[in-house]
Amino acid sequence: MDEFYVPVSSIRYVYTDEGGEPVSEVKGPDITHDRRLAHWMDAYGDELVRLAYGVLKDSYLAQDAAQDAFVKAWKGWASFRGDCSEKTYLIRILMNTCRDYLRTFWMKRLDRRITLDKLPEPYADAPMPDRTVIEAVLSLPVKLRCVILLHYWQQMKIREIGEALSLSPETVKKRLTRANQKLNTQLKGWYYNE
Amino acid sequence: MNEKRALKRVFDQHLSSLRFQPGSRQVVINRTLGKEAPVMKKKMSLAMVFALVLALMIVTALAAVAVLHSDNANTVNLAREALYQKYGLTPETLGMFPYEGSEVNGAYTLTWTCNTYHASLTGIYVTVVKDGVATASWSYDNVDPSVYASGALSAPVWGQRQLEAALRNPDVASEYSRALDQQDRENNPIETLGHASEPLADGERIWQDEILHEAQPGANDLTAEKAYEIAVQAFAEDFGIDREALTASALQDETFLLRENGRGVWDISFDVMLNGVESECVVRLDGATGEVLSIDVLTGGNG
Repeated sequence: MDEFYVPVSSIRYVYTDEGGEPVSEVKGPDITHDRRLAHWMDAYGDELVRLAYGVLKDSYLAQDAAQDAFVKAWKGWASFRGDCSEKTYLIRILMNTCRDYLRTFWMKRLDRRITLDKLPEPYADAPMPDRTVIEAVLSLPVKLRCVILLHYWQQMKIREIGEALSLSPETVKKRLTRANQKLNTQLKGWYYNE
Repeated sequence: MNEKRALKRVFDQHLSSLRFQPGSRQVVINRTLGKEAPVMKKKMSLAMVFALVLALMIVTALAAVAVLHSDNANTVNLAREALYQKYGLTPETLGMFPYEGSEVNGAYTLTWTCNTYHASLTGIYVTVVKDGVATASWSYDNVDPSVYASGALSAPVWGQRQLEAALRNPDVASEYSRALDQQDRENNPIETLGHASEPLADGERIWQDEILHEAQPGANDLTAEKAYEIAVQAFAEDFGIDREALTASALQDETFLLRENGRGVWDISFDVMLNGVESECVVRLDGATGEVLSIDVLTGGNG
């Protein structure tokens, strides 16, 4: 029987079975802190998984990376200086986590064998989109891909991307320019107008 | 169509089915309560076994990897060495100076121009290699070294110390460079544009004035894995870096291209930290023999 988590009140987590009956409950070490974690997962969980997928190109690793990011963010929140928004804070941790994954020897060898046909299937009721653009973006080198994902998909500003990737705004701009040049070439006559 | 909106829509459409799973949520809760070990750590135990086996295989294979350099690669190495010796430049600072080359009567002249900061600050370096001997010069050879000895970015001429500072503080360095760009625009309001070259077609890359075309490696060409091993080994040897340190580098691109003479080229780029500076290394190998055709390092936002 699968268990799933439901934050039923502000003071406790209750684990229930499929029928909704409580099977155990655990009080967190800090109520406010735990509510923040629940809020993060509700508000940004899907986005972080999708973003991690865009970087790692593997849906299972994307789940792992999002999990790691939430745990690291939760543990590090006390030392967060408030130098960026909460969302940027989470994305920064996620991107660092993804980078660590990519830097492992194992992942480096594996990554080269991942093919683009492993793109997740869209929902059945959604129209089947053309894969040209997403494949072009996912085939970009990882550091160019990151700025494209953050700028065009997450709609983040140059400064915010710099905060998330620990880069100067100048470097972000250069990477964005290079990524756009590459996409321009690959997507001629597509979304990128000449 | 607005690119930004169009791209966002494409991402949303393709990735909307990816969700943060309830199971993942449970794992996060358990881990914050100290009930469960990190996912990646568990996975890494298996991965480590795999990696160790793979590492052993690669070490065995590497023992047989002999890196051969083309005349071109040897020439550039000699030129770099001359610049290191004479001006104290390092691979990181020289990485901001892409070079262009020409050959006349067996003398190879390379011109190294900074494309990150204003040329009136950095000057231009020229190396000449003939009969295996390299000489180096700088457009500011006549300037008294006391002008740039302080290492301050406010100096009118940037030597090695300023270049190091620029890598550490690109924002500050860019301010000085932009001020000179602005002066240029004010002094020359009507900009003279050079001849616009034809844009490269899809799948084309330019290398040493030659257009290369993306292709599939043939039966006699090196595999991508073998080419990558040679590229990393060559970089480690040429730049005196511990091979182990390069295992932390991240592969960026690995493309097989055809030259105009029909020979194949592996174009391999990866990120590497050179003395704490994020750098991009680009290695080009002959597709069949693995001979090193060129190794370039790009730093200062060029990478």
